[in-house]
Amino acid sequence: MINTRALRSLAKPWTPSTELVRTSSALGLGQLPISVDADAVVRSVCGFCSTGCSLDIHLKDGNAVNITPSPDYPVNSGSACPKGWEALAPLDATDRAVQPLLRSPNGEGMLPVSWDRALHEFVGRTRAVQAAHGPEAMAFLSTGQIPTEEMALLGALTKFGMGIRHGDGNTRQCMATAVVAYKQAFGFDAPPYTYADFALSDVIVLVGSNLAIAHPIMWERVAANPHDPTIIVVDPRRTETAAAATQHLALAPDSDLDLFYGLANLLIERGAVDRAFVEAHTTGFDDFAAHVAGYPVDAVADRTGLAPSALLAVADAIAGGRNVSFWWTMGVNQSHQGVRTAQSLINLALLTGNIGRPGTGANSITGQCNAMGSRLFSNTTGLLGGHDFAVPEHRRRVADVLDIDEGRIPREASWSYDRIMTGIDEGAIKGLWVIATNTAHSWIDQHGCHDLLDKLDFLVVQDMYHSTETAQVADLVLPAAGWGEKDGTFINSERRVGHITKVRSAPGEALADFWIFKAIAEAWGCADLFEAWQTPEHAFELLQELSAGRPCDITGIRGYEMLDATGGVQWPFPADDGVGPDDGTVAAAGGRGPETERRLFADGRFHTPDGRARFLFDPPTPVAEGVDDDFPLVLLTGRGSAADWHTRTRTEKSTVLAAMTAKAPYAEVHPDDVARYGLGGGRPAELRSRRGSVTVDVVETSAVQPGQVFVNMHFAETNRLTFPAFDPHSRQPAYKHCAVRLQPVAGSVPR
Amino acid sequence: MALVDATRGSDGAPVATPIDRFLAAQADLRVVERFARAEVTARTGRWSDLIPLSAPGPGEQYRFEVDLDSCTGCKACVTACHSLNGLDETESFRSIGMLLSPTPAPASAAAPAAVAAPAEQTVTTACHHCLDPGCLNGCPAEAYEKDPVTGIVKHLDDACIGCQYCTLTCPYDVPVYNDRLGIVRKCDLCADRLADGEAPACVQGCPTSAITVSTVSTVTPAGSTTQGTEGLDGTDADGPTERTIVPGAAPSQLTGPTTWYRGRLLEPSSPTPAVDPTPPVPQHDHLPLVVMLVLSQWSVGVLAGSLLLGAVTDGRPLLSTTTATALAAASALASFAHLGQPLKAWRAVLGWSHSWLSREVLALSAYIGLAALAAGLHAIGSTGPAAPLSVGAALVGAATVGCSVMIYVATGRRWWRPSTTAPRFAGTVLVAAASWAAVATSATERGRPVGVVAAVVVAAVVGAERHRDRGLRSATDPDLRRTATLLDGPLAAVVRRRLVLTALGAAALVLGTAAGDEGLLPVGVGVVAVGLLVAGELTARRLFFRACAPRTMPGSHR
Repeated sequence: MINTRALRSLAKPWTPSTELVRTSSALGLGQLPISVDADAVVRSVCGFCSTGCSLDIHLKDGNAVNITPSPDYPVNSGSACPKGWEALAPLDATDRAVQPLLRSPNGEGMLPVSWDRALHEFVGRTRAVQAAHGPEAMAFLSTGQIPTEEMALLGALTKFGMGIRHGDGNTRQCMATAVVAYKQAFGFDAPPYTYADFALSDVIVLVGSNLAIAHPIMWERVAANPHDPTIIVVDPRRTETAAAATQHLALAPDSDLDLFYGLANLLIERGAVDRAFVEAHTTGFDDFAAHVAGYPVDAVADRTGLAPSALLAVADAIAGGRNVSFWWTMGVNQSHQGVRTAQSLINLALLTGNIGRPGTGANSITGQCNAMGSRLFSNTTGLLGGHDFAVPEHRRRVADVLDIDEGRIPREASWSYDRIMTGIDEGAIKGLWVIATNTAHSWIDQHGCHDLLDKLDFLVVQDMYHSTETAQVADLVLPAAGWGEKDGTFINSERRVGHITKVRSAPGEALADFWIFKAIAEAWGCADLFEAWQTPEHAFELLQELSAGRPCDITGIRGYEMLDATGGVQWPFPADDGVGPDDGTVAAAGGRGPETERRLFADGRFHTPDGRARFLFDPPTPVAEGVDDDFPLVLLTGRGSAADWHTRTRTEKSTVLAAMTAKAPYAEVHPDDVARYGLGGGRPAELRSRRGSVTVDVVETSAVQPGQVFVNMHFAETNRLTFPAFDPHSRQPAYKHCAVRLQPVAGSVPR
Repeated sequence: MALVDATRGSDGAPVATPIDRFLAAQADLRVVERFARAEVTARTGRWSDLIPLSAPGPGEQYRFEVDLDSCTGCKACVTACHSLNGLDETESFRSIGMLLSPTPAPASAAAPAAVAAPAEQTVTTACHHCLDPGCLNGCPAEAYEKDPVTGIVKHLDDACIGCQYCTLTCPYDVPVYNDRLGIVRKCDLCADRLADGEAPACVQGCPTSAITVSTVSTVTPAGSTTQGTEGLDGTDADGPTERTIVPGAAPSQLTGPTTWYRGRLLEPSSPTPAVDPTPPVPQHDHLPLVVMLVLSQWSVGVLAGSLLLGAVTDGRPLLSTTTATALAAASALASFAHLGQPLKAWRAVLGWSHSWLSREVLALSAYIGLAALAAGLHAIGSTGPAAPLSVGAALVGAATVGCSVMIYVATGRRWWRPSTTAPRFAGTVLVAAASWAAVATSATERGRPVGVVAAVVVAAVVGAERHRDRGLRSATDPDLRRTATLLDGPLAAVVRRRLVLTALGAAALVLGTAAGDEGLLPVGVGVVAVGLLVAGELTARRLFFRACAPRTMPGSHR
């Protein structure tokens, strides 16, 4: 017998492969591959979604080499979704913009230019637009993806320095509805909850939220809830979240307003109203009760397509719950009547007294990593620091803090995103500056959008990549540093201000957006206005000062060190608010730390002038584009996978993430519709709306109901189909509903 | 307002411009030092209750356990494996797939959703650390071992020769070839972590603790799975009920996978069978293996054809043994091209006691030696000993082809079962033998009848093959149906190419032998005929690989 073990050992001298050998990390990170064994870690809040997980970035010889989720951060306690694990990969992409690019004189192709030349072009052509068409003819579109300090500097530079009037963010596409709903009902844009509430509820109502996929680390809290909670998911689609629920209400698309009025009626009928709370802390209940009396259970069942027994069961659960929390995401926000729908949930929380206590609340889960920062500090819809452009004392206060002439502050809010787009169409906007967003992919009704961008005299795109759909049609591309290459703060969904740390230098001549704005201020000749904004950290101090006395007061934060040491600080945290124990590390950083998890409105005092929350309601309105014989199917859109982020500009750069996502557009279709329209057999289908068509792979699944089709939003093709309807209050686009049809692609073969 | 030229001072000398300052600020990484931590809260404690407290006892081993009801499909396990194991950019030892429920789940709360199966279910998968591992059994280089205590199936990267045979013998596509290293790599259940009391990377990565490691009995006979996987029925046309670890997976009988998937979807009472929504796709064609197989079989065919012909006329033994030797040597060279570590090729014989690949290597080497010896004897005119040696070589050649057949049979793949693989490979031998006989006699008076017989043989071989393949359309076996889908769909053009090449080759054989002339024409036609027939066989062998797409684990549409 041949001794194979002996022979095997003969091979040893030739072998190359010890690379997977692991060693026990001296830092407490467990076993790590020797090749990337860390010698230090730096903590940084993740730059994808609004959950705001902290990531331990592993450093080896000063290089960021790996990431593990921070085990001791209150948000994620050691977990991250796949995007967080792969957060470094997008930085290494080959299509990074590494120097400014200027469209060549013949219009074809982009030529690399120096920063000086780029700034010269930027200033010269912006001034030309403004000179020819008025200062308001240059607008900007910003983002919820950059730190608060940067978006605040952008808002201040454009509006106070450059005379730009109109600027909005991609946050309009994700949470404008929640902002308006809260402002009207609570008197301030104040999501009241803390993530601990997920685990403290005994009834959890999730509306239009595929939490398990869109916010996996929030779902972790739900899954860890020790109270055996009743989980009610309201969603037309049987999502992963719906499948994990106690009860799934697969209602007809856009019938949620009927549903929640009907539930309010049922709750009032059975005496589930918290009279004491309603009388002490709200106004408008009687009118609301009279309104919802017009929503009897049978009519609501009819409109929503749900069984009356299902409605009764939900009303029972809400009435019987001790701590009931209501959560919503894009299914509500991206609707033609999103604000009233969000408020119909706020109404349910108010009338049952489920607010201000642990495990309760009417809670908007927002989308982007710094959408919440943008809500307070972007200086677009609201004046810096949770102020109002229209209020003179607010303008005065901001002018004082920033030491600028009050006359520089506009007296009105900017146009909303859709109004800017319409302005382009009408010729009122001739120049557009797009920062860290991808309008040509993500804006609703894409054909219209591309035509609009063509109408511009000057389109500037400031982005990490020169390859985004929008950058490809730009006149000037300014190369930006990305997450991991800059410092600053984000505010997450539960109002937690968290710190992000620069761990990499940017490639080529790419600059953090903060420095690009500073450079533009220099080139524009208004740098003196922004003298105090020396670094992001200086800017943060200004923002703190601006927040003083507002509901979002964060004057108690003692610098980035405190954020880093405490695991983030939720607003409000005023300087005189010495809440919470001092754990020493905070003292070392120069201040006392707040409690780790805090919620709002424990005292029942809201931010309205009378301190009372408002019951707000309107009758439901029909969808903008209903189905008919030509377009008989409802198109639903949403997140496809936890490995995809929005327009994929970053996640597609990670090979590991890209391997876990669909390669070609697909549509989820109910088996009945597959049969009805002669689809299936592995052949692609044509999905068509009145605005465009997409070739899709057909995925046959009962996750969608008959008459509905689901496509994910990550494919650029999706917005060829969507219909440009908007919520009248929030101007948020209604991505979740339009009419389409499906047919086999003629002559196609299975693929 | 004119732009200020910030690049020059008042004296006209260049100064640091604002942009220079900002670029310098951008390059400044001192902030890292400010916030760097030299230690963090230990990551490892949190997952300690998700792994066994002690090593498996006798008759036990470790296994993965996956609670599908807890898995939401976030896919963090895949990235955690990738990051915590320092894998290459494209590499992770975990992957995800998806199952769909084709019939409607309860649409309202009237039916309790808690007991209804999900409409879409993500399935995370890594190595199943089988009781009877296909990778280990197939490996010719002894690059796998199954840990006697933990049962973990480890790949020994150092010993791997990169032949990739394990990627065919593993029913679950677990070992994946790494181009950069020229070897395969796979999950080792983070054995070193477990030994340290630390959870495997994927377990650490899962936000909802859906993946755990537990201990399982190995006492149940190899080839059937262990407890917790009963009741997962798929139907099998030819035999008893198959068991699978999840719907749509390869039959568990093949290797005894130990991973235990549980969840509502897998309850016998689950109302809707789940399906893997991804259609089969053509597989890798392993070109060096295609060449190796066809050349070795052609070589044996040439030798056999010559011997048969020799019974009635001049078999041209010198030419045939020389040709056979050259073809077999070329075949061996081609197989080297398939190795990621050709310098370690010698290791390929180590697994002779269990690996048909090792046996094929040994048989092919012996065949080359014998054929070369016979050719040498013919060359020096020593035909006496050469003739029996040629017969011996042919027999060893037949054994080589037999080993080749068994290499694919041993994978357990339905389309590669003996009843189709053996005629396929033997068919190539026959085509080679027939065309040798035809070409060798083309310039003689026997040319015409031999040419016709040869063409008939070729037609019969291909006809039988076509008959078998068309029969797949009515197969009930899911794997055979997948092959039929590929042959009729994405590979239909390749099937046509195979038929056309071979038909033209057969026609050329008849044409070449019918000429009955001593000139160059019949030789030329004969060469063309052989070229076409070889091309036909190469195409057929590509189909052999490309159309073999058995169920492995559920695929993914997103």
